[in-house]
Amino acid sequence: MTSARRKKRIKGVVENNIRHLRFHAGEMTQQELADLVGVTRQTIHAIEASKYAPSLELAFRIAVAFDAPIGEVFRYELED
Amino acid sequence: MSRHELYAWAGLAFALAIAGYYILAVIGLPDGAESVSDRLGSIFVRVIVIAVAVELVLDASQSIMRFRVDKDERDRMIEGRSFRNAYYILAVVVFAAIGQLVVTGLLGEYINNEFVVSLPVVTLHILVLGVLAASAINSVTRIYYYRRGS
Repeated sequence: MTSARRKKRIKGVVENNIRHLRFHAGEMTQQELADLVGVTRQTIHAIEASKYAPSLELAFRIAVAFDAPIGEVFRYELED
Repeated sequence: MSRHELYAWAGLAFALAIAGYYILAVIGLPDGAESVSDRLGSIFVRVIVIAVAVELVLDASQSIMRFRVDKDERDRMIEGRSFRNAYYILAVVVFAAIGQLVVTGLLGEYINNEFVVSLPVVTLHILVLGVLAASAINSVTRIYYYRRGS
């Protein structure tokens, strides 16, 4: 990381592949995933739409639900 | 629309109905508006009955779907932000009421007795409307965050 970049405040959005992973997990519904990880369907919907960044624990639970590494489910997109 | 968002709408309707009823009870209707007072009364009662009915139906539906998660981390985050905003409003109102009491105490000797007697009533009105405003802000904040994530 360059010193110029270090001075600038890092800002971005947590993006995800949950919709894609649900489709490949037997077309799992949002409600099924919500029940599996212990949240409401509305929270899964908000995470999928990148309107809500989940806690680290919930992010890991979602990754475990898909049997995938967390980096495959979530990624951090830097803002310009 | 989630159960918690419905609660927020019901809470907002309830707070606004009570505030409206309270303001009308304190200020009263202008001259010649007595004909609508009965209609307004029935509207307030209807809003309160609907708000209570919504909460009862939601509670009943939750007991049927007991296996589902009732409240998660996002609900708790929204709840925290809504209570924080309501607290700001309430703190301002309480400090305003305290300030008014202090000013009344300091100036009490210099103003006539009739005015001094009416001031505690004004303080009560400020506090009641402040509590209702804080409740409304609480509901509006919840609605905002639930709508934003929908």
